[in-house]
Amino acid sequence: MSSFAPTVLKFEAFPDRNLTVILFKDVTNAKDVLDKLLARTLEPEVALVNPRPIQSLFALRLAAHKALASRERNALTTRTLHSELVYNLSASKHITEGLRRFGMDDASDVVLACRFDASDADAAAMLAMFPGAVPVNDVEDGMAALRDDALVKKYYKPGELECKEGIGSVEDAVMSRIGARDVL
Amino acid sequence: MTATAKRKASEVVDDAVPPTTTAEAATTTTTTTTTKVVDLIKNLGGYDNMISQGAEGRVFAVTFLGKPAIVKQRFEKTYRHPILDKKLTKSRLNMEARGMMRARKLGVITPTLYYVDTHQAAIYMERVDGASLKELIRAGAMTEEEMRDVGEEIGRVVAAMHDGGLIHGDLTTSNILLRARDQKVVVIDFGLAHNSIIPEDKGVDLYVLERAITVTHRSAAMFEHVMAAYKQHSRQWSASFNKFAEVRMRGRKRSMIG
Amino acid sequence: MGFEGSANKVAVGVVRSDGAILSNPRKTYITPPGTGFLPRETAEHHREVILDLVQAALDEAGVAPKDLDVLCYTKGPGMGAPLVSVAVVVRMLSQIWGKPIVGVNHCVGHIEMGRVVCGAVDPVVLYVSGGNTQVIAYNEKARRIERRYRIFGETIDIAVGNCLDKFAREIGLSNDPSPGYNIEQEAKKGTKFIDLPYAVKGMDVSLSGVLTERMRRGECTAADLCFSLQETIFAMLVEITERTMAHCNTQDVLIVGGVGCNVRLQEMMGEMVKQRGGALYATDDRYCVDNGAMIAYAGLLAFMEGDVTAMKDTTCTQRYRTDDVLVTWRKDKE
Repeated sequence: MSSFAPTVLKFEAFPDRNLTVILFKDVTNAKDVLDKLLARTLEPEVALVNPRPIQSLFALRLAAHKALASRERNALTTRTLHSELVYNLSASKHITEGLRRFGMDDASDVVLACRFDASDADAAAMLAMFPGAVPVNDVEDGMAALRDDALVKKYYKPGELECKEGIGSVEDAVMSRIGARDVL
Repeated sequence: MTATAKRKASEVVDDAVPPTTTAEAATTTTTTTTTKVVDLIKNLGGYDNMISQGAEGRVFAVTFLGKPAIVKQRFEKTYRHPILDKKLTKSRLNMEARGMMRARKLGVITPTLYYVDTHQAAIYMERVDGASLKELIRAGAMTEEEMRDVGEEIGRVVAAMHDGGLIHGDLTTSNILLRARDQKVVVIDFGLAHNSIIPEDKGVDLYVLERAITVTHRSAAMFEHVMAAYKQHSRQWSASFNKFAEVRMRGRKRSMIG
Repeated sequence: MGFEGSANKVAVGVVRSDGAILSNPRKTYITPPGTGFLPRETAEHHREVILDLVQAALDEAGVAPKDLDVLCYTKGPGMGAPLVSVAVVVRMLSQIWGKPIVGVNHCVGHIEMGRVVCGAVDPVVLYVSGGNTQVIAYNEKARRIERRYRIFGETIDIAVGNCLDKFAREIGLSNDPSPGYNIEQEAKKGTKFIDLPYAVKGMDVSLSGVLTERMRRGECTAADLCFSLQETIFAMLVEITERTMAHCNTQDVLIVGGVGCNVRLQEMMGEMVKQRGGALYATDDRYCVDNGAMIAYAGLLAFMEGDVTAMKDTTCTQRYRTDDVLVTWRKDKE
């Protein structure tokens, strides 16, 4: 456990900012944490993402980039930077639906906890948030293993032709739907 | 006079926009009052890596989330009335993103779309390694056989877009790339794209393509391959061809009158 | 000496081979407000005044018929009856004076006159007049091509001049000196920008009806509509020109044709060209508007390359494409 190092994502457009990501398995206290989150008493503030419909770390990174851009421009659509990250994972402009689909729910046994610009203390607090749960060392592999392709398909609706070899991939389809959502 | 146009803009009562646009405009206005200008292209060092300056905008090379990408930014056209300029910039940015995605769904290769930044009217996409058809033809880099193959592939691709109700709107040889790694046809620049199943629109699309190819290539041969493949792959080729012939005739007729 | 009569203007001009204009008299057939010009009446007008114009052109230039090298006339494109009325006069003069004839493409006349007057070397040409909207470029620098002017942006389905004229008629603006000029003056009084369809096709068909309907409902004034119509239509023209520049990789623009006299169009084009680091060559209305000198000059260029039109070929054609003309006289470096 002491050897665990959280994944930190960087953003070329925001060199001073980063996103700390920890993927947990065998979560047992999702409901408690969620209650605190909704009561806005969860410390530190984090984004609690449902990893099952997330295609890849790249998708998470794009959603985070968009959230940072909106934050810097004072143009957040949701209340906080962290809820914006969750909302930005959605291909739809429907806010409640986006938060419900891509946020952790109270029965979740897996969660992707994310925090922007986390200090060491913040990272430690994130690890302590889910007692008994197992943080996954390789986030990328862990996410791929947990991914529910049917859910990805349902939420992002990638077309059959666009995912054909030589034309594009499911990841491409997901990226474009996240990246271009605001103009679709 | 630009000054006059700008002065007039402030007095404008824009009562002609359709309801949806008004609703969107309203939300943007409320946010723009507090919005801070953050130049992402500058942060990414894009301005030091300009690839091209077209009629529509500038293109920069950047690394975006670890991937080689290009950013295409539409800039303000100062010669246009500000209201018109805003409207056109917005609609073309939207159409470009939608057109690219729609083309892909129809099995047409386009660069992968990464991100649309409405604040800077910028669109981020995959950097495709390849050359435009215009460059290749001009350099004399293609054999007759390659011309035929590419022509046929273009015909198939345009047929796929048209049958799917997508009109590209600017099918020139600069907007058709051949990807270096597999010599596949990649279609770019969907800024003038629109959805339509009307044969007339398809005919115009084909007419623009014909003119572009014959002006670049100075030979009808390549376009004949395009048309042959289009006929083979499009279910509605007959209606499109009829309109194409009509549009072509009209182009000729129009120059009759002094 | 050049003879022009493809539309409602009839004109005779005398030029020297260096482009100097010795004389350039012209008469315009002006119809009452709300009406356009019809072929038969226009031809009648041309027949009535052309001999006086020939005499005026000679007198003003201070030359006698024996001093002339060649008679040049507009072969097309244009309205049939007026074209023929002028060609008949040229054939007659050719036989009386014993001078050769050269038939000239009207559009090429505008282009060559514009080039020599402005000193533009290889510009993209926006030719915009009553019946025509064309974006024309000569050479694509990267490669050798056949010597013809090439038409770009032809799919635009708008005869801009026609659209403006029609609208001017609907709101009862005077045809004197031209409907386009009066729209331009009216537009200066416009304050409100009305959102109009920005479409590169189908403009002239239904637009004027839509416009006047809005005016009737009291939503805006005629001046507002003139203003907005100009802003919208000219933006399209500038955009198409800019696309051609990008495609051909050229810097400069030359505007010719009657609508080219519009100062607002020139300003907008100038702004675009400045952004691209090029120069705008906008001819003034003496050469923008149909005239005899431009026909004389373009014909003279061809004549000096040995082109002569035989008497039996001195016909007129309503359809005469700019890219049908073999440009023998341009010696641009590759």
